[in-house]
Amino acid sequence: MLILASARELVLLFVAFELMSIPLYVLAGFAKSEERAVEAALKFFLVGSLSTAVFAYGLSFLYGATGTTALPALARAADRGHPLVVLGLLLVFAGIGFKVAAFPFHMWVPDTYEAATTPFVAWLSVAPKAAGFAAIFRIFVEGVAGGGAAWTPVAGFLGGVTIVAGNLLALSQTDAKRLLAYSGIAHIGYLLVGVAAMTPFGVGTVLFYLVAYVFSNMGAFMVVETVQLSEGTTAIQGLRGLAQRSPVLALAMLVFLLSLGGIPFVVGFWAKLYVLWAAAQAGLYGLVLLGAVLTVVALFYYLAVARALYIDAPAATAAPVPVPPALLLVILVSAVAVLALGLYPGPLVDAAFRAATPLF
Amino acid sequence: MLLALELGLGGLIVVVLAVGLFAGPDRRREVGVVAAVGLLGLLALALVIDARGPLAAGAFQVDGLAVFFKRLFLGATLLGVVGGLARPGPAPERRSLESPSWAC
Repeated sequence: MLILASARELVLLFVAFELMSIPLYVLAGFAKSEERAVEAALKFFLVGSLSTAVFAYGLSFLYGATGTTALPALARAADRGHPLVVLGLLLVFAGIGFKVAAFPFHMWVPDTYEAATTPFVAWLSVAPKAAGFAAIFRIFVEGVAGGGAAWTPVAGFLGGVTIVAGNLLALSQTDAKRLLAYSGIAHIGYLLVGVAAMTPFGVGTVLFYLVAYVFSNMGAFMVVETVQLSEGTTAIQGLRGLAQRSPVLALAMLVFLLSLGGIPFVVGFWAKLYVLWAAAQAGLYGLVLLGAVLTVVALFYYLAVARALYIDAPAATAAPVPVPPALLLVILVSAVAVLALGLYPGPLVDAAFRAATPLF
Repeated sequence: MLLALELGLGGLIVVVLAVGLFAGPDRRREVGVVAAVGLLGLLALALVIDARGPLAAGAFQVDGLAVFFKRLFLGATLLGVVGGLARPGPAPERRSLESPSWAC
């Protein structure tokens, strides 16, 4: 991932992507005594291999059409609008779409998230996806340069359908990990809306959103892990009455859910607001409307979990849920970050916009 | 200095692998602590150093975007590793057919 963030050459970028992906397949099936984990790892591997093939196919078209793998030279060639360059970039976008789990390339996500170990899934749900956006910025913003605006409809369409599909599929989930998986797909849609803006402001908002998503999503997964270690289940039913049993844990989960839902004044609110603002500045009013409406839909399933935490009675025992110190540390750090960045987002906003500047 | 984080992470991988080999499967948590401490050090390094510039004729570029993502990756990985320390139990048992040399 570290190399991927700095790669400005297509072969280096591809190798970095694969160096990142192969350990992910292994880690997905790390609990190899569990059949579901092995099945999930196999699904992840097969879909990941297909995406790699599509990605490599696209890169081969780019090299064939331009004769170079260096991004600055690719930018000059892309300006000429060669059909093979367009086809190559389309395949590359699809390949990265698999990696970031954008709809309709998301099918590996729910099963893998449900079966793999939760701390790994917490990380898988944020870091490799952020790496996918690093690759998108390098290729489609820096690499395509002036022609980047031509990719607005592609990113916008993919972002729109991903928001709709992720949110609607999350509505019927009864397992917390699967719910977070589908809601994660919806968040990828919002990030793609920021990409569709293709402006320095749009890229900056995506970077801000990624940080907000890291703390909110990882925190939520770690609460699920805590309950799983205690109750042996990741079902939403397992969270019933958590406020009576472990008030701090329930409060932390509520903070993460509010942030994922985009409620003021936690960091997720600013993330969604900035992304939709960037889309509005770029004239993508349809996406802004869609994103705003689907935010309300997302609140329905996030607040359904909150209802289980605070209103429903505990399932069986009312004993407190033990929180291992390591998990407590991660949950507290994430909760503090979500609240602090929600109340005072300025420094992170500045850092994100400074980081976006070199691309333009 | 431009490759400090990449080299540091490579070194940490070797250290964690060596500690894991010598510590054995029953002391996974200690190996995890070593990984977490190493990642914390790398994250601190990423926040402190501010070297920018190209390498390998521009194929590798450390710019603001790269630095931002590297900090993000290291921070998220640190949270994931620390969260994983709470997992109980030893490493999954090896199955003989996983390695052809052990099967015979």
